[in-house]
Amino acid sequence: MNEIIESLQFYLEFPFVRRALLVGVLIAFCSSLLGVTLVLKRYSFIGDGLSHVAFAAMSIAMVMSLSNNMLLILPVTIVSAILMLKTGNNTKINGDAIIAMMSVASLAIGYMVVNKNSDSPNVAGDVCSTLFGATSILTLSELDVILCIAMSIIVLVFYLLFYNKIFAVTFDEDFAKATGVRAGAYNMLMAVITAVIIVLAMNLVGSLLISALVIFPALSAMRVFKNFKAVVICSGILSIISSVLGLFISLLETTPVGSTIVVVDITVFIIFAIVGMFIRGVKE
Amino acid sequence: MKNVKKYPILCALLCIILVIVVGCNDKKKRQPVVTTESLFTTIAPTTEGTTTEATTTEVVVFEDTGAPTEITDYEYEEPVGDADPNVDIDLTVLTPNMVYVQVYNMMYSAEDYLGKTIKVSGTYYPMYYDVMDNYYHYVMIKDAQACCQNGLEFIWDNGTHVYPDEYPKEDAEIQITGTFSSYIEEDFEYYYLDVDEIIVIE
Repeated sequence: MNEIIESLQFYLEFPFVRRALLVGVLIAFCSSLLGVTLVLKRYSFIGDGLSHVAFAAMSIAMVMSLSNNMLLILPVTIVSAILMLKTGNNTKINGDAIIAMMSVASLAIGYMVVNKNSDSPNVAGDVCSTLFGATSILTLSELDVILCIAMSIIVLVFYLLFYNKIFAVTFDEDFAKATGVRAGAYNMLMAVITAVIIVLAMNLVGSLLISALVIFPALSAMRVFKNFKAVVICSGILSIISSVLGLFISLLETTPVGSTIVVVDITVFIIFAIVGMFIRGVKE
Repeated sequence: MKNVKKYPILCALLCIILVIVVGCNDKKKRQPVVTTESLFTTIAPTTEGTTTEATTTEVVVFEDTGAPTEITDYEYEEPVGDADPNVDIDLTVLTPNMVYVQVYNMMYSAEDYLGKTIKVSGTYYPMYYDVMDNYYHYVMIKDAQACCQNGLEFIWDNGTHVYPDEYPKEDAEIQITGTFSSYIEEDFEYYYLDVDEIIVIE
C-alpha cells in the first residue's frame, strides 16, 4: 500500500498528471449531470452519436490542416446535437434511428477521410488513440484545461439555476409546455451543452467509450435512489470517484485511461445493483 | 431469452464450448536473440509474457569523447526504483505510457524543458533528409499499447560521429543522457538532446 501511495505521489508531481486529474474530474462530473437527463429522456446513445460526429469533424479538420480543430468540431457537433434532440415525436425518423444513422455514417466518413488524406505515419495509431482515449487526457494543453473549467462552470450554473425547469422538461415535456415552460429552448440549450461536454469528454475516454461516462453513473445511482435530486447528486459523486480511480489505476498498471475508467464505472454499477437488490429485499 | 429458460443445460454447454474455443491461444514465446556486430556484441534479454527477467547484457558505452572506449556488463531491469539524481528528468523509471506522455509534453511545451538534463530509453531510428544531405538520429518511444510513438532527436558530439559506423544498429534499444536543447534550421526551431552518454541495450 505504501508503494502505491509513493508511486501516486511521484506521478502527481508531473504537471500533466495534475491537469489530467482536474479535467477528468470536471468532465466526468458534467457528463454525469447530463447523463441523468439523457437517460430519463431515453437518449442514452446520444453520447455515442455525437462523439462519432465529432470524430468525423476532427478527421476533416485534420485533413484541412486547421490551426485549431475546435473551430470545426464544436459547431458541427452542436448542430448535430440539435438535430438529434429535436427529432423527437411526430417526425419521420425517430430519435434512436437518427442517432444510429448519424453515428455510423460519421464514423465511416471520418475513418475514410483519415485513411485517404492523412499525412500521419501512423494513421491506425492516431485513430485508435482518438477512438479509445489511451493517453489523450495526459496530453492536454493549458488552453484545453481552461476551456474545460469554463464549460464545467457553465454546466453547473445552468443546472443550479434551472433545476426545476430541467426536472419538468425531463419527466413530462408536454405538461411543462402547458404550464408555460419554454421546453424547446431548454432542449436546445441541453443539446448545445451536451455537444460541448461530449467533445471535451473525447479527450478522457475516447469516442467509442463516451456513452459509458454519460450513462453508467446515472444508472448506478438509479439502482439505489428513486428521487431525482438524489440520483443527480449520487451520479455526480460516483462519476468523480470512478474517473479518479480509473486514472490512478491506469497510471499504476499502464492500462489505457479510457477503458480503465469505464471498467471502474461497470464495477460501481454492479456494486450498486447488488446494493439496490439488497435494499429492495429488505423493504419487502 | 425464452430458449435459455427452456434449454438451460444446452445453453450452458454452448457457452462453455465458446469460452474454450476463444480462450485457447497459441502464445508464441519470444526467443532470445544473439547478434554480432563489428563494433559491439549484445545479447537480448530473455522475456516471458510481459515480465522481464534481469539478465546480464554486454553493451558498449559510448562516451562523449568519441569512439567506443570500453565494454561493460550491464544488468537489464524493469523500470522501477528511484530516479537518477544526476539528471533533471529520468524517463527510464517511468512506465511506457508516462514516458510517451512526458516526451509529448516536452515537445509541446519545449521552452519549459530547455537546459534540463534528460535520461531516456527507446529505439534508435536514423533518418536521411536529402534536402539537407544529412542524417538525423532519433530515439523512438512507444506507449504501452504500441499504438502511438514519439521520436526525440539527439545529436551526438555535434554530429561529428560517422553514420553508420559509429552509431548503434537501427532499431537497437538505447539509453541516452543529454541536455534538452534547440537549434534553428530552415527558419524552424527544432528541439533535440545534446548527448552526454549513449548506452546500447538490445
